[in-house]
Amino acid sequence: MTPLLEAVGVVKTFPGVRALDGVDFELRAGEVHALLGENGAGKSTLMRILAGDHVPDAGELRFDGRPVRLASPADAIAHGVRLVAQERALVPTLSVGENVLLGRLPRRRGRVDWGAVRAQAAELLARVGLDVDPATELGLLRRDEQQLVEVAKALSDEGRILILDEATASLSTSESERLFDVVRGLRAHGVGIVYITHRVGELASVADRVTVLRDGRNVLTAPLAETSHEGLVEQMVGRRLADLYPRARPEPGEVRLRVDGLSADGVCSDVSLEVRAGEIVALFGLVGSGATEIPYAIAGDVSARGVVEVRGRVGLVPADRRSEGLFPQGTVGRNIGAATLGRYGPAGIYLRGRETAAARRQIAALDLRPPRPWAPVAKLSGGNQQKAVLGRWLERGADVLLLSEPTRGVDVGARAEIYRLLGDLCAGGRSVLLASSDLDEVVGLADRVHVVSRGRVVSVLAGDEVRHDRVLEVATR
Amino acid sequence: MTAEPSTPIGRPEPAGGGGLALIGRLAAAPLARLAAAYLLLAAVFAIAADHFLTTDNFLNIGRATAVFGIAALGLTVALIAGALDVSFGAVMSVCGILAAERIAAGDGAAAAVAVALAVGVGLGLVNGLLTAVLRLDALIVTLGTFSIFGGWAFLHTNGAPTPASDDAFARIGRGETLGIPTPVVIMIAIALVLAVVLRWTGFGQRCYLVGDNPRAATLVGIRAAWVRAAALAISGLTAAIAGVVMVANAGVANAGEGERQLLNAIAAVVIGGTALAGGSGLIVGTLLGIAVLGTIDNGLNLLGVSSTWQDVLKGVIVVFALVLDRIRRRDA
Amino acid sequence: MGQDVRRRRAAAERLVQDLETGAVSRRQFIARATALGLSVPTIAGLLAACGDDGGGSTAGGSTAGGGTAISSSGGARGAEAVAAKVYPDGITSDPEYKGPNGGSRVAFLPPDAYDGTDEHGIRRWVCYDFTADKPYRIAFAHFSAKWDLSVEMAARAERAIKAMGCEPLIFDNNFDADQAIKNVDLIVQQQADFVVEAQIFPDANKAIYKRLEAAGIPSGYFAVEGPDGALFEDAGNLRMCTALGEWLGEYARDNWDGQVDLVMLAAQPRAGAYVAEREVGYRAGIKKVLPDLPDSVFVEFDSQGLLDESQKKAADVLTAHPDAKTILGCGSNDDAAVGIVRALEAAKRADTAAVAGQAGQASAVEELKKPDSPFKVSAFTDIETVPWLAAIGILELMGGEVAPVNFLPFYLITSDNVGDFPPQAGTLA
Repeated sequence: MTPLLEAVGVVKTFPGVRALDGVDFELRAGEVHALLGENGAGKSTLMRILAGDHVPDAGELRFDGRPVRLASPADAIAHGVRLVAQERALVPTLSVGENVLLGRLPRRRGRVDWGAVRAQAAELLARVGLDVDPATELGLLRRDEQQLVEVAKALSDEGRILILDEATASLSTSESERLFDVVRGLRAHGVGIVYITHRVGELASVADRVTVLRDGRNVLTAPLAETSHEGLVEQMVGRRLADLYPRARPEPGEVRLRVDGLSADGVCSDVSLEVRAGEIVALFGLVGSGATEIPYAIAGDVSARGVVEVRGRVGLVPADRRSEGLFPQGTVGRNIGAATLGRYGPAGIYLRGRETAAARRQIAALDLRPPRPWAPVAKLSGGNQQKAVLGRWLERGADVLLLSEPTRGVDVGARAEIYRLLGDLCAGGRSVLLASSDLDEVVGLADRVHVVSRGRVVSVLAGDEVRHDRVLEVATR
Repeated sequence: MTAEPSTPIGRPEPAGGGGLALIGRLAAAPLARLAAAYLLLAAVFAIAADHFLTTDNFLNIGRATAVFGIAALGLTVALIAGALDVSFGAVMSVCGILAAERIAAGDGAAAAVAVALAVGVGLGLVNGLLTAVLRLDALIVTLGTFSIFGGWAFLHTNGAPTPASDDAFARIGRGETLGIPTPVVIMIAIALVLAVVLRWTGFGQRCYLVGDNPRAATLVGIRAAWVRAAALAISGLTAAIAGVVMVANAGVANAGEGERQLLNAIAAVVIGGTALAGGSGLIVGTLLGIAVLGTIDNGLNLLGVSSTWQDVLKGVIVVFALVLDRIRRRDA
Repeated sequence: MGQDVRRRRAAAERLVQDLETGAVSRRQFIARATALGLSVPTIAGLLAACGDDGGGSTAGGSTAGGGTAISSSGGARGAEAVAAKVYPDGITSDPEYKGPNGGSRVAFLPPDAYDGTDEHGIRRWVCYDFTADKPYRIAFAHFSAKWDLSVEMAARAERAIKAMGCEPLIFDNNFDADQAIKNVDLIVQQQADFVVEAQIFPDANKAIYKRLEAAGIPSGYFAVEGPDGALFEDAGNLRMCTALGEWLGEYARDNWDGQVDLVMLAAQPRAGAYVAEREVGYRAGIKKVLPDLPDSVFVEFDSQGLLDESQKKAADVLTAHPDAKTILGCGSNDDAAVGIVRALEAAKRADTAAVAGQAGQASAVEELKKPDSPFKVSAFTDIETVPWLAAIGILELMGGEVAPVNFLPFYLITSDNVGDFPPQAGTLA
């Protein structure tokens, strides 16, 4: 059987980066082909090439066996490719029906035929199993329902190939389940589906085959049944999982951070916790639980009530590096020195030499690359940027590090390094409070997990209880 | 800083030392490019225009640019801190008028200058406080205060000119110091002070951090709103100095005069490579921007090109500089 | 000179009072007025304004049948002065008379007329009860509330219009053609009977004239010409700057033996053809005195009428002419002229230079007061007469006359008489 879509030897280079280096990919009618990979592995680039957004430097695309050149998204659409991008392309103030049929609203005598809009939208919504009135304003729908509207929109005309990019990124488990039902339904209709994700866990419920990309190459294409969870992760990561998280940790020391009854409007209520020297304590919650905002409340960034006792200094590593952590126009040195400007000279004087020296110290301690204080931080990889932010607080002498989503957008290699680093910091007697929605890292790193739901700590798990299933069960309860 | 050379990550740094490598790095630096462009421009005029390459002519360029140049220097600091101050033209008018009134009242040059500078700092702080308290973008706030200050100047004077004839005061605008026009000496002195403040003080560095990412600056414990307020006060101070120089040169203060300097000053800052969104920029860049604008006017005057064409050409250069700013930020 | 003017004016006022109260006969009045130097038409106008006592002869274009008269003299079209016009309403000598709407019988004399005998000046009298027919609405749209002179002009116009028993409608054109045209819509909406426009864009005047014509409202224009056929009031750029040019030429002739190396003309090319007549006038005036001066010494540049722009450009012109020693400077206005002065001072070439400006701006007055300044002469337009002349224009238009160009009087100010001519802002405040 001729595959619906083939990509052969696709190469794409961006200035300074070879994003795809001879990737092969094949999609058959009526299959769900998962595309796995860490951030930066090349998933998005491949997806954009398939959607006509990028033109490959070399290699070939074939639809139904015929070579095709996609010069623009319009070309891809003409070949039946439909993309459901990670960033929503919906208009919240319009009705569901208008959103589904946006750009091709049925008309009669030059006017929108609202009856037809209703009927066609209802049919498409039924196809994705969404039971809402097409006249409802989109903004009133839940996240998962909006995601399904997005799928319905992609199906609103003759789509044969559906690309779902991180479709479950903001969905809960049950919400994801619903999406999978729809995907399976479409597969039964003969639609070929490219399912892009970095969550290995959810593949079992939906995928037929899986392709793993790493560093712009495909390292594995196999039927899902022939792979294992661990094997896939190791393929993505390129190393053994056991190496990812540091293990040996000293006995915890004195209490460094004590939070008692902390409440902040719209963020959290009545949160209490303790972190000792040498401990990593996690705040885990699904997206929207408020877990990742609690460090801000502790650091005093949002006005909060309650007691926060700190022995030593606190350093906050914010979740959104780009908008909250980095000084993107600055150098590595400036990013590291930002919290300690007062130390680089007497009486308000600033001597760059001292900042550079401090930056060199942290660069060496963190193995930050490139090891140059004057390198522009914007050119660094996500992991090295995060190291610069961490280095800032280490330079400040922070004893308690509050981290919010520290590895979001960080590739796996650097992620392992950051984990190792956190391990080392704890070994050196520092305390870490890790707020994250990444189950793997919470389970892999934390001594104790405070599970957060709707801004409250619903359970504290420690020791043997810090397991994937246990944490998830509590979090979704 | 913007002048730092950049090397793509993941590649080894080019082996340092070699002269060629140094030239390569310089060529990559926006300021070096601007300086090269300026030299090219000057070379063209030196060949085309007869009396371009004379000391007196360069003093003329300095004299012609000093008023908006002084304002542009303070504006650079504000813009680096992420506050685009468009009210400074009105501050110039207000401070110039107040200085002229002191002169007219017979208070003497020192009192006139002191009043003008104090009011300039005050109006800058008003901008800063409104920005901090209302949590608005400085551009919005200063657009408002631009109208308020400028309108006050008209209401206060009824649109009438205020004569300021005092020899000591006039020397600020027309005199010479060490053979150099006093306004130019003032401009260079301010440039030196502000360059040192930006490069060698914690406050200067905080300006860069706040302009680059105010949220991150707040999270590392910098009081971003106050840094901005201080930067706006500096912009108010230089606007006041520019207003004093302007009135001292003219011998009479008119409402609405300072506002006309707005475009030239902003153009100088933008051409000098200060990011419109804040976070990067250098005083020396603004000085180059001032020189570029002044030299274009001067050279074209010497060549007898009509001033309408000069305006068009300056507009093209500003748009070009904005496009470069945009490209630079997209690369970042 | 100024002292003299004031003295004579006071005397003329006393004389008119005496005539009104009957303390002097018409014959005595004519004799004393002539001795004071008042022109014949002026005397006739005064007689008309103060009523006909039936005795003696009347001079020039005096009144007939007790009608209101206007008369004029001088002007560039000077000699063929407009003959007296007779308007329907009766004249009364009762100074306390109020028309039905409160308007007095109008006898306008420019309150600060410096000298009735200026060769360029005109003097007119209007005697007409505007309230007799109906209370006319007269709109005055002035340059800008941001210009003191314009504000003063508007205030005087308002007073004058009220004194006529008419209803004033004052508009602010805000130095903005769009605003001026928007104002016209309001003027039409408010059903004005006559409009005086003062704004700086010639093209806008044409648009304004069209709109008003379509609405059947006559209009007059001040300072910047309207379309042909519309009343126009101004000192006359060409006329005034020719006089200034002559003054400069005479200065060069008397001080430098007529040797002039460079003439700098700080022009305003973007202000339109009418303003450009200033440079034409300067050139013509200088050449009139120094006919052998080659065209190559004249260098014109765009000063935008601004001090600093003029200074920058003049500095560059001086750089380009390093050998020019004797230099004349001609400012499109006083600020532009002071810009030339600043450039000369900076280049240390002010000693053999003479600069002229026009408008009597504060910057010029400050310069003229300095004994060693190269700023030698400016011209002062007598804007006091604007509303008064506008009223005449109205009458002429209502009388079905072809609208004339009325040249306002102007005076040359030099260091000799600058003390008598405070800047306009000062005079009018």
